Amino acid sequence: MKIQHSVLAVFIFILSLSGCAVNRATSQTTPGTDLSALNEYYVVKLKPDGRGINKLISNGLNELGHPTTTGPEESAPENADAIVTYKDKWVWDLTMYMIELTITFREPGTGFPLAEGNSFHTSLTRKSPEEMVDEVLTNIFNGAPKE
Amino acid sequence: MKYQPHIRTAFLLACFILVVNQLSGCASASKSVGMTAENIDLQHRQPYSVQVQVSGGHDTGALERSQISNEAFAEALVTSIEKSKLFTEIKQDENADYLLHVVLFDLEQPMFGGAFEVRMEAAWMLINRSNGETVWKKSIKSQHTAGVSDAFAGVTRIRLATEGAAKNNIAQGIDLLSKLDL
Repeated sequence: MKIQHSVLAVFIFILSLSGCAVNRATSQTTPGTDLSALNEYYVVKLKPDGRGINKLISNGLNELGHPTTTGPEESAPENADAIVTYKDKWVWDLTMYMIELTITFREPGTGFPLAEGNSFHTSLTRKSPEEMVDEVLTNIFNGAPKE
Repeated sequence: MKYQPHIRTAFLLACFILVVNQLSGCASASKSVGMTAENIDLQHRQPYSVQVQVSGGHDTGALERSQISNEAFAEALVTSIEKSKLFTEIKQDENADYLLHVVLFDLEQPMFGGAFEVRMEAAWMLINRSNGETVWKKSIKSQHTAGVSDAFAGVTRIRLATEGAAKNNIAQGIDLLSKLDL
């Protein structure tokens, strides 16, 4: 019985530390932004990113017909119509997987956000990084209702 | 060592209440009162009327972490502007001199931990109603941390952290707007 109580106490402690989670896919655009006017993109590599997510986003934009390059922030070309930043969040559940991805299009120079997409999928509905990138980009360009 | 039956029952009941409390708190939306900024030192007041619009927010789902709705943020922003007296009047129609549009962008919330640090980014735009010109725009980033001393329940703690980040964002926005020479 003592062991059972200890296990229960640990369970409650873990619950006290955790928030809640749900699957979600959203996007939004700043009023006045015309995404069709943006052609060339530059994806700024997130410094801690060791998985090459910047390349997946760059490839995704190229596949959508937008000439896109990627690299460090200081190497952004002057002719880019938008700077792309991102945040990827990974958690472990038997294996590591990407639980959340946020991609933001920004105005070159000022960094003012123009559009953003976000996908959040927990373990049972997990997607590969390629699928997450594809979903977020599709949501940004096509708009996505909240799931 | 054996527990007395009444002690065991009380312990299990307390555990059950705690678990229910944790789970039922999942749908705890951020509240406008917690996001309202006060006591902001203005550079100067703007002698104009303003209309406030907010977009990009989300309602909080049944099992979701605390989100910020457009309505709650707008209410907090309006109340904050009224308390600071930044603008002479807030109008909810297009007859206002300026339109203040805030788009809620990134809301970065932790999933696990003792101290919850929430970061957010909002795009602030001030538009002159007479000619439609955007006279000012700024990306404002803010953050707030809520610890176990603020709330034991994780869902309450993340709501407090989220509200704090929004409150700081509003305070920064009003401060910057008060520095404009319109």
